[in-house]
Amino acid sequence: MAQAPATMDPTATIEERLKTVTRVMTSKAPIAQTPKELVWTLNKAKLYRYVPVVPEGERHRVPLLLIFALMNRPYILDLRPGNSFVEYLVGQGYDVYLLDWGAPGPEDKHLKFDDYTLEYMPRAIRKIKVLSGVEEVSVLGWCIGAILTTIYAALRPDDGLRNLILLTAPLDFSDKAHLTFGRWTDEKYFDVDKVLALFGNMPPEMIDYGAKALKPVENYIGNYLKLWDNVDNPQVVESWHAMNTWVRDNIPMAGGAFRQLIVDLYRNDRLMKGELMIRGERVDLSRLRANLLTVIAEGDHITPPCQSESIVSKVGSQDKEVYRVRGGHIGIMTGNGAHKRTWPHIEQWLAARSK
Amino acid sequence: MSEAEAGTTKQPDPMEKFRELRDAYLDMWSKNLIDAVNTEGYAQASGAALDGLLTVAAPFKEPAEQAMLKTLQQLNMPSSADFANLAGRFTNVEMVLDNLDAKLDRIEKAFTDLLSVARARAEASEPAKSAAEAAPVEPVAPGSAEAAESPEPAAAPKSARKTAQKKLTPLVNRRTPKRTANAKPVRRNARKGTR
Repeated sequence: MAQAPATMDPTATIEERLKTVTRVMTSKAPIAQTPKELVWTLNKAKLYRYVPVVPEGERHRVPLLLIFALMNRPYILDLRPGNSFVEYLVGQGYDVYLLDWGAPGPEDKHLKFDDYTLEYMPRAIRKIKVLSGVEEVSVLGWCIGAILTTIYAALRPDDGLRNLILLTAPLDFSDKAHLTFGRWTDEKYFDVDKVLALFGNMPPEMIDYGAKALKPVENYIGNYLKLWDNVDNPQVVESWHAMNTWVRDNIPMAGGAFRQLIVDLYRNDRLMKGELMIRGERVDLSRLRANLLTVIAEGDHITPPCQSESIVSKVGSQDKEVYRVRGGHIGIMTGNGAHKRTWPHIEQWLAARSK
Repeated sequence: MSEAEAGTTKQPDPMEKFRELRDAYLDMWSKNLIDAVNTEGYAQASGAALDGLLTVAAPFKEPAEQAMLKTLQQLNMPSSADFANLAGRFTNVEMVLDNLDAKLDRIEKAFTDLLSVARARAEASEPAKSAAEAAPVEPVAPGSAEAAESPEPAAAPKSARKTAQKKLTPLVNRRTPKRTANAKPVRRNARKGTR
């Protein structure tokens, strides 16, 4: 057996590192590996059911639906084996479903929150009820997915929604001083109609730039330096690769929904004021009666904590809890501490309410 | 040096100091830039840049679309608007199918409920029937040989009937209207509208 040289040639080392960096920056990591089956579709939306691994008698009774944002792929919830929230929940005995909104095309530019909350979500939830044979359901919404689930929960309180989990939910837009996005999209500087007239949907490149420009040094420099510093550590490299695959895989946001996000929420804070109209119905948060857990990331620069706190005082739920966790917008669910803190807390909260 | 010591002793990294300095410098830059992008000035500048881009790009959009539309029409090919219309129709068809699926699910559920009622009725009537068949036609004298052979014929069917009745009552009450003892059965003519 050939022995490794005592001192590596520095040129060879750098060459090896560059190869690794090139590989992880130009290829896609194997992600979303938890076995699942497609159970329902509508337009671009797909509802997946994850194959249970726990025997039926030992599973939690109430199924759980996961809903992610509109402008990113939802497989961040099932990033890679060993670091997957979905895999964790399935292992804990939940009947887990994921609603993937898909990438809207030019033909979907008219899609609004109205369509997502009153057409897609009720139909998907009906399908879940039929498949699971249970008339109740728990829903977890993350980021803009949390806006959609909150609107749905307030508009359809009698639709069998038992538990509602909101992760980093941007719901309160009243504190303008802490909202960088709010400042950028102010009507003085940003003409949303002009952008949508040209593009139809909100282009993913613009959304990606907006998210990264909030922390430019971390996103454009620090992220790559972290990879370079740890390029000899396969665990860090593979984790970085999976995350980079997700970060680069952006999708457009339907024009109608983006306009509502900017005009109704960022500019006019209509949800919290009780003025948001969805297909002629006023969204009254006091009608939301499901058990509520809202998870706040203390270091979130995309959805600052002030956006997720006040929902608790507005809803009509008797059972409600705010859980604060250290971390960023995405890090609380995918970072090193996620499987030690965030996931177990959500699981325990849900387990007590899924009997 | 033993192997354990060699494993635990950290090799001096000549780049460590450089990395520390670099990170401190980046931290400082990060804080400054986060503050910078969170100002009205940045919002105004980025808005102006975007507006400039849109102003330049917008005039080309409509002529380009018109030219493409004319070309496609001349080639007798569908335009993007045609595809968009088609996609809208497909989505509508999907919704109609989903509505039908929901109706079918409701029908299936109702059918399953009916089946379970029928099964419960059958279970309730079967022990009663078998009990009636098993019941002696003539009273048997106590202590006789025949009485010794028959193992309590009436007791089991009666309890079975009660249990079945209990199970059936809420289901039956939901579906069948109450009928008083003196009421005459209503005969419905299928040809005439009942409403």
